[in-house]
Amino acid sequence: MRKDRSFLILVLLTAASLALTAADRRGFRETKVARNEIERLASVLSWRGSATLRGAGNRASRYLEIFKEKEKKVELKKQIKELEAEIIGLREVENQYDRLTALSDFESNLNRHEGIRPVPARITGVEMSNWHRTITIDRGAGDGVRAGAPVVAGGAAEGKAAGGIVGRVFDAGGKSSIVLLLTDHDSSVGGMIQRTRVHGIVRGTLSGRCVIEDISNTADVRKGDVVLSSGMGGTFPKGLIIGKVSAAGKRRDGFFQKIEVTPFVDISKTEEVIVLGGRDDDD
Amino acid sequence: MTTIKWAILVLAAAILQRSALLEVDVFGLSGVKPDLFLILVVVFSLYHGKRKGEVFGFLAGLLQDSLSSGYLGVNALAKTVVGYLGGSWRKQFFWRNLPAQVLLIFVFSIISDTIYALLNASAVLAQPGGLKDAAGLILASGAFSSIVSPLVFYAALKFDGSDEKTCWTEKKI
Repeated sequence: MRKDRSFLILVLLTAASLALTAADRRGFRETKVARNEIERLASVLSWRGSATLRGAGNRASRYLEIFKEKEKKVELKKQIKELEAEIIGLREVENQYDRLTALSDFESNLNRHEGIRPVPARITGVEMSNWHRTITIDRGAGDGVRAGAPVVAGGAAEGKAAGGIVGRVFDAGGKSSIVLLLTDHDSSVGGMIQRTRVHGIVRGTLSGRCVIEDISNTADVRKGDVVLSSGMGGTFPKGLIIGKVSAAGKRRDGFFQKIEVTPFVDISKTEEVIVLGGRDDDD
Repeated sequence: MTTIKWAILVLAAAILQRSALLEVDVFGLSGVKPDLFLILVVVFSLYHGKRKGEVFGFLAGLLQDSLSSGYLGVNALAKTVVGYLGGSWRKQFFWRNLPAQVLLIFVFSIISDTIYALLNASAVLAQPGGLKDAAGLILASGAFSSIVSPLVFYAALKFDGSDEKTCWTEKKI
């Protein structure tokens, strides 16, 4: 009897899970609202959690230092450590300054040339499962972020401030948003080879890498070629850097080449992004 | 008290899983991470039985779905099944040693990810080389989860304060 009941619970929970999946696929408003709220809470927790862990770690190591502090040598060592920490802190500030300057340069370029209103945002979390490639940012609909808006990150290419595509906003909550990365298998961006102006579609794959499709076997594509957004499809402005061709080869069984692209923006080393919220003329 | 402890563990797992700390590039796949939720569901169900295990799996999976960009309910279903199956092994003694625990996590990870892939079959098959990539992802995720599982087993059982005898605890039943 007991065994039957646990099997019955399994059946009920399975039915509930499938019902939720069906509701979510149909885009029910209630499921979306609930997810946004949980996501917002998790963003705060992640941020506070990591800050608490950092704080606790720092405090523990400070107490250890005090207990070991018996001789002058130890005191001097501590001073050296403090100075080192200060240097590391200053380097961090310097790095942050460089990153923000690059972002700011890129942001003003966008403002001047494209009439696009950029929204700077900080990355607060990454995707939990291996099946999707997304990040969470700390800006949402309340800050002017819209679903579908392109997301870029600043960087330096050939000594100039440049913007590389990170992805597009998948879901904009009130105060946070989920960004679908370029490498996600649901992502596709119109791209072109900078050198030869050949157009194709850059897609993500399940393996977390990017490929460029629909480029014929006769087209001239080489390893190292820069891939830019073509502006086709209307989501991404033309000329943003997507990445570089890391492998190119002709397929024997088709008309199109097999081309792999390494994204320009390394998301594991990125902390801030810019959401291209909307064009000024939209207002 | 147990509920609060496990809720804290799940929250800690969520924070860790949402950071990029655990990501590795392996077998030509980039950004693979272990499924800490799965390991917690397996440990919980092995210790608390299949009825509690499946409910815990459902709730943990639901939280995972809410924090992920996939459809709601997919992880909930996968983790419910894992909780039920894990709880079924509760009375068996073979899993109480380290190699068996690592193997169990690998098997359950494959079951969970296969359910996930089946429920997203249309998206998986639409990809160029989707089936091959999905198989690679399932195996890599299983391998990575089982590698980190002893640490999670140890932490979870110490935290749970379970009085059952395993390779991690010395107390008698």
